[in-house]
Order: sequence, then structure tokens, then C-alpha cells
Amino acid sequence: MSKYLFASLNSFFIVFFSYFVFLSIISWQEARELLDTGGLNYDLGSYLYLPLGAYAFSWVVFGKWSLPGQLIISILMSLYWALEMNIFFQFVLINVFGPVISVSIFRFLEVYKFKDINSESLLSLSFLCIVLALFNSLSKFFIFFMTDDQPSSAFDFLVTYLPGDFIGSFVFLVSAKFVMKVFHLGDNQKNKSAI
Amino acid sequence: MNIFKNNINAFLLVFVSILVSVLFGALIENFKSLIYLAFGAKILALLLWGVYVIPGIFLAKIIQYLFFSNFDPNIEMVVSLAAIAVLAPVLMMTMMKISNAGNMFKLEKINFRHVIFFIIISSMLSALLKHMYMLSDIEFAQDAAAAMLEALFGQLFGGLLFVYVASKYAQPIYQIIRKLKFV
Repeated sequence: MSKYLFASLNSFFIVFFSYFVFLSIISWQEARELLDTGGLNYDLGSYLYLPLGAYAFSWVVFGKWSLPGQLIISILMSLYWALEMNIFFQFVLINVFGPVISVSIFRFLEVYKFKDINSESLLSLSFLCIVLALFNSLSKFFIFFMTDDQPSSAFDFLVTYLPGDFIGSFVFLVSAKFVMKVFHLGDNQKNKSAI
Repeated sequence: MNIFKNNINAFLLVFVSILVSVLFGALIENFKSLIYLAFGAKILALLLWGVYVIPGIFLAKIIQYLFFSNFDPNIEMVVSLAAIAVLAPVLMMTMMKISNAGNMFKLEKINFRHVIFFIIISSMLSALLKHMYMLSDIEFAQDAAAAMLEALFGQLFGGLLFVYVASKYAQPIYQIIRKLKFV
């Protein structure tokens, strides 16, 4: 029981950390934008959406026991963003289950196994990030523009969300892989499976 | 000579599947948008004959956009959309090969599960690129999400259905035709 609680708590804090870094970067960007142009544009996505990589990382490393933690942090962040009720639950579900479906497609179709992040190559991680970005951006695009009565600019939405999702998830996964290698994290699991 | 023959085969395969989609679309409402067989034909042509059949597929797509599209075609848009339709799967084939996710260039090395993966990501990329191109034109901004969703699922279901049917029944049909001595 404590193992599952540990996995859930870990995934909660990993995703929370990614949101924290992401929000810090956004506030820095906003401050720059305010200084440069004197105004803000909230319709555009960020070019470094780190939490997508954090959700995928939690699912790959901790499996199904990470889902409660991911769900709680996703609900809390949707409350923080003050999302409208017609897109609130859809966005929560896409945040949590989008990476689950993307990684499961790779596993089920035997493209990559994704047993852990440590042993995967950069190429396989980049391919995972492409599929993650496509799935996340497209599903959010459909939900946002099919429920919203007066959409702003669909083109701007896609042009900012898609690269943002890809770059953000790739940066997070590569950083996580680097940290795991440096601090020898996840080596116990590897040794167990080798035995 | 062989490449020329393969191009004609690919053109016919894609063009006939476009005609079938249009015909069923006229008979059954929403059939064309939900099961878009031409996408599967395009994928199958690329898998069978390789990237050398790009000109044949490109020609078939140009004819489709000129005569069977629901918008007023101008030559720039037709050429761009046809190029996106042909090059999106080729781009994915190349990426899959580079990242060791499966070699789609050699028929004997193909794993059918990898083909399903290839169809899923190609349909996503193709629908996304086509609609991003069209969204840059303000006339298409209305109902863009619904149109893109239709295109995505149409290509996905059409691609999976076409490749599944072709892989399962192509051999028996070919043998029946041989028995009837048409070939």
C-alpha cells in the first residue's frame, strides 16, 4: 500500500514541479512582453509546455499507481487557470490520459517498450514527444474550438501549442533522463529485472 | 520502365479509391467523411512500390482536389494540398526509419503492427498540416475543428480498413482472377 502511495505522491510532486518551472517561465515571458509591447496575448500557448513531459514521465516510471496523483494535480491546475466548466473536465482528462494513450500506442504496437526512461534513446524519446504533442494539441484544439462559441484564432492556437508541447515534453524528458543517469536513479529496478 | 508501370498502378489504385469514396459519399450521407479509403490506398501504394510512386499519387490527388473537392480550387491551393497529402506519409516513413521505429521502405521487413502505428501518426500529421494550411486562409476558419476531426477520423478508419482488407483479401482475389485467366 505504501508503495502505491509513494508512486502517487511522487508523480504529484514531479508534475507539480514541472508546472512550477513552467509558470515561472511564463511570468518571466509576460514581464518581458509587458516591457516590450505594453500588452499581453493570452490566446497563445507557451513554447515550453513542460508538464506534458512530466505526465508522460510519471506514467512510464510509476505506471497506473501514478494516476491518482496526476489527476489531483491536473484538477488543481485547471482550478488555478480558472478554466470554464465546458472545457474543465475534458482538459483534466486529456492532461492525464493523453500521455497514457500515447505511450500505450507505442507499447501495444511494439514500436518501443518504454519500460523506463533511462534505457531509451534520444531518438525514441523525440518520437514519443512528437506523438504526445500531436495527441495533446489536436485533442485540446478539438475540445476548445468545438465547445467555444466564438473561437479566437485556430491557426495561432495550433502554431503555438504544437511546437510548445513538443519542445516542452522533450526538454523535460531529456532533463529527467540526465538527472536519473547522474544520480543513478532507477538502477535498483534495472538490477532486479536483470536478476 | 518498371517505375513508370508502378506509378501508373499507384495512380489507378488511388484514383479508383477516390471514385469509390465519392460514389459511396453520394449514396450514403457522411460515408465519405467517415471512411476515406483514398488515404489507405495511398499508404498501400507507398508500402508496395516505395517512394518512387510519389508522382502517380500526386497526380491522383491533384485530380481529386480539382474535380471532387467542396471548395473553389485555385492552382496554388490544389498543388499545396496534394503535396501535403503525398509528403506527410513519406515524412513519417523517414522518421520511423531514422528512429528505428520500423522500416516502412522494405516490404519484407514490415511488421503489421508498425503499419497500424504508421497509419495512425500519418493520418494525424496529414489532417493537421492540411488544415493548418487551409486555416491560414480566413474563409476556412469557420467550423475548422469539426472539419479537421472529420478528416482525421476519416483518414484513420479509411486507412486501417483499406490496408486490413487489402492484406487479408488481396491474395485470394488475385488467385480467383488468375483462375479466370484474366491475367
